Amino acid sequence: MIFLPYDRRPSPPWTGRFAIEAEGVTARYPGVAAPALSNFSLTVPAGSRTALVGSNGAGKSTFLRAAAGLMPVESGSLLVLGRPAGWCRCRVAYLPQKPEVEWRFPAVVQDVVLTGRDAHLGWLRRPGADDRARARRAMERTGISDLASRPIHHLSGGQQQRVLIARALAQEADLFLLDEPLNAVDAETRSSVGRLLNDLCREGRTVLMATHHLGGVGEEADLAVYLSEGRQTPAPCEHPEALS
Amino acid sequence: MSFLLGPLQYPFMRMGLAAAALAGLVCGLLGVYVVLRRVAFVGHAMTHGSLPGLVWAQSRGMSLFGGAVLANLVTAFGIGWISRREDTSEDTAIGILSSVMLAAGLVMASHGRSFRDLTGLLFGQVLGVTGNDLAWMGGAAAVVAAALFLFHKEWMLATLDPGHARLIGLPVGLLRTGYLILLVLGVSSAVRTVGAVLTGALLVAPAAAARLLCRRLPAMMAVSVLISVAGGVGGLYLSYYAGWPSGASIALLCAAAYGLARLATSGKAGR
Repeated sequence: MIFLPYDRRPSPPWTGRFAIEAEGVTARYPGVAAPALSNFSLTVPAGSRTALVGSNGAGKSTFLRAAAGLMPVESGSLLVLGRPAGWCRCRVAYLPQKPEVEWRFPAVVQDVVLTGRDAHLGWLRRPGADDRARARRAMERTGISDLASRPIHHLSGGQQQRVLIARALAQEADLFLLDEPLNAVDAETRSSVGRLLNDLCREGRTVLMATHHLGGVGEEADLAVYLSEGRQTPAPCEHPEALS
Repeated sequence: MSFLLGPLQYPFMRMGLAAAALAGLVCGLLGVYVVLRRVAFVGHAMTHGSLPGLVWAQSRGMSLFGGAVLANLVTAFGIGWISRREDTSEDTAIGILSSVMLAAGLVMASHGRSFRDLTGLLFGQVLGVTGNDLAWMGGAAAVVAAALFLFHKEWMLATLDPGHARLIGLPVGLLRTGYLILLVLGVSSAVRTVGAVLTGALLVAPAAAARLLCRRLPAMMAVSVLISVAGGVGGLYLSYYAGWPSGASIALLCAAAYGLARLATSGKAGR
């Protein structure tokens, strides 16, 4: 069957040195005078695990949304996988802090993980045996194979988070944009997700993660970038009490 | 067996049963997304909003389906236009427009010859279903079923996780518009049988019952269609034997199915 992509812009395989190259990026929410992100620059090497650290309103989520192509950049340059942000949709996985998932939807875990393949299928094509196998592997890696047939409204917060990470794995993205992925999850999930992110980086994938939690970032991330009030600040942050 | 076959000796009943089954098929399918997207109020507005079109078409001897489609398009675009301003929410726009359209239909009926037929338009007039009506209903059912089948994956994702749908480039807004157009077609095809006031029951109750009983979307769609077709056909039999209005009988059976589903799942809170 002919491939009819959701986004008709070409997204060729990417082999660059930097997954993200941001230069003087300013972004603003509609109707708000002050920019949420102001003149922000960041270079994220391919295969690295980078943490954006800051308190609420620091601009971490704004940058991830802009990098995912969900928010326009007012000024500056933002290249993601060598293309303007929003071009490489099937190669970028984004996990927002508050996903818009309707958890009461009549679906089981494997249905949700399988939607990670949608970006590769495009219009009209249905998931095949290969897509199901990739979704199964993603569930195995996130340790949720035993939940495959469980209705999604029966999941705990930590399990929901792992389901969404499994969907991102099934998408087989090159870049993972994760907004507070370890927030409000139990210690076991935190530990297993941490190991998984390390494995992804060893495979050459890039992880950019927003967190307000300083603990462990130094050990887990290759690079920590600090933000405050929409601007980059030197490490450690000027307001550490807000982050702890 | 004669209980089932008896009414079939009358051509109007055969036509009516076919119309009820088609209305059940369309409303059962569309109702799933009405329930999951929590837009029951939009469906309600469209059923009420079809009245001026029905009255206008009947007064000119035109297709009721065509009249209902026109009125529902006005309703759908009207809701979008009124709720453009940030200080007017969509449910406010729906509340205003459904009342205005219903009132407009009543005024039009009071000034024309069609006032005597108003009860049938409001509560269903299955006896008057023509071959032409059935052809329109069949066409609408085919379009709705084909669209929901072909774009199942896309509509599912846009409802389950609109944020992820936008991320991968799905036109979520366009899918919503497409769904509203299907709803216009579906509601317009059902108002002839169930009536402008009671079509909402056929649209919402079977899907709500199926939501209680099913864990996955395809099963929910199948059960919703089963209940709504059974409600439509069963409602006509009830109407035939008990002498009740057809639209009311259909609405009551669909509501009864929801009640039974609630009872059957009462031990599974949160389902």
